[in-house]
Amino acid sequence: MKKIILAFGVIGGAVIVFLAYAYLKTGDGAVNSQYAHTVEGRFFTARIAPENPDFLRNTLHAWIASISTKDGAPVKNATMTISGGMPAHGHGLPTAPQVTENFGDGRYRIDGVQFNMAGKWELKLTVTAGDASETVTFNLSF
Amino acid sequence: MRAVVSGAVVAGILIGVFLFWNAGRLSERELSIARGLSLASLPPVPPDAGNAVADNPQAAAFGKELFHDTGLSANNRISCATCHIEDRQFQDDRALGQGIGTTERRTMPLNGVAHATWFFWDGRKDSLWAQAMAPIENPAEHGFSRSEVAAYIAQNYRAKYTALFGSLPDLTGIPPAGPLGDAIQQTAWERMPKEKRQDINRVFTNAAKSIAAFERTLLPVENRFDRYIDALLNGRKPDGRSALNRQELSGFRVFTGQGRCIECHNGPLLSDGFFHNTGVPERAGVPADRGRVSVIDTIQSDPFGCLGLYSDAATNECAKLKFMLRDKFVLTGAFKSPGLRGVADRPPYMHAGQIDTLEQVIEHYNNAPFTFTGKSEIQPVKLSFKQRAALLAFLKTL
Repeated sequence: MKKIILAFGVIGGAVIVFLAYAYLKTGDGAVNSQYAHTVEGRFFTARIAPENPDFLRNTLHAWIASISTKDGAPVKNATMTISGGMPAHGHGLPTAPQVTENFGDGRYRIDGVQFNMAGKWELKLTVTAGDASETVTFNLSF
Repeated sequence: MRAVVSGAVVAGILIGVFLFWNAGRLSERELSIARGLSLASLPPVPPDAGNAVADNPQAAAFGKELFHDTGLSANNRISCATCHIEDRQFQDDRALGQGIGTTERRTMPLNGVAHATWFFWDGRKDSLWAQAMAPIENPAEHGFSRSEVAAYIAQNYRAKYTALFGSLPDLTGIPPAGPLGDAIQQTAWERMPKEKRQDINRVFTNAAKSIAAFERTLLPVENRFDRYIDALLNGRKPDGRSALNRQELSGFRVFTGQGRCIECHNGPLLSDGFFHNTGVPERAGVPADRGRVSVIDTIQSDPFGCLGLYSDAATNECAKLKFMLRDKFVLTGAFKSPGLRGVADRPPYMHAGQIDTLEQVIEHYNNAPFTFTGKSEIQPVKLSFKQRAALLAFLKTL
């Protein structure tokens, strides 16, 4: 009899764990990371934040990139190219974003960004200043 | 041992009941995804800075008349409504559009068209009004010339036109002329003074802006899926007209999961509005069609584009032209993702009606065949027979 109770207990427990897992798995909402991101590169530290955090999916919008050297000095004369895409789906960005403004204090406006579906995106900045050039990759999720 | 077996049986039954119960309803996360595909997430019609009369009801009423007027064609028998048939979702059920001649592509439906960013299958026009001009001058469609359009407006719609756009230019003695017409019309167009050509372009443009104002009023139609999501979002039990059965819900999960349909068919119109090469076969008898790549070098200099003389937009309102993707590798063989509202009711499918049935479309994406041009983005999604049947059932709710 004890064995039966024990078996019910163990299997019942397993069922409860399974049900709880199933609920938690389906209960989580979409991850939203429309806030600032910082990436430490080899030469530069790059930080990006959406100009308007309430931008809509599939709408052109701008990000502000702040570039500094590893010791924290703003990089005021960087040139940048932008690429990216969705690695899991094997496609790039649906637009060709560009730097449209250098604020002169290490901040730059990157305009023409658009994410045409929900999911995990990469935004890559290839930053060149003086002799140093590198690509920093931001992993974003919408 | 017997105890373990009986315990396992009970647990198995409990899990089975749970899974069955769960499959018949959407989780919170699924409901959030579903909401994104329903009319509940449809934004207002976006403004069209290039069209000063875009939201003018008087222009829309004028445009509606023009949309249905067969006088705007070379044979007096073709109007926009010939191919965009109102009670057929504003399309024509044909593989290739049929005007005066036969076009090289499938007629696109118009409900919700004002939400698009790019127009035509290859997105060669950046506004609805610029789109509306092209078929009128296409020899295979209306086969009209733009000087004839201007003359026809002056003769038949003078009061309505001038109320909206001011006086009409003097068009007496103007021959049929246009840059896209036959050799005689092209020569007549070239010989015309520049100012006269601009006058004619202006009238043609204003007529098209009115047609666009009408088309902006064509909204997406509520479907059973919308009613189902609306009921769930408002805490109502979906009734007969809005219920989705287990197979349809299972098809929703295929659509948003393993089938990967949602990658391109997302948002409330079930299109990302972008261009993709999905390895769709060529249509026999139609010239090779490489889609988006063929137009990306000319869009920015289109005289009827956002940056052109006839657009009402300021340069800084033409961001989509400025930041458009021009990657020729990615855009070879790429066509706009069509919206999927009402899709089950309008075969044949793809940009030249190459695929006859929705079952075959699902087969296409299931197998992801070799592409004839460029590089196909799709991979075989390997759906079971049951999953494909469920996906088809779901598509029929849209």
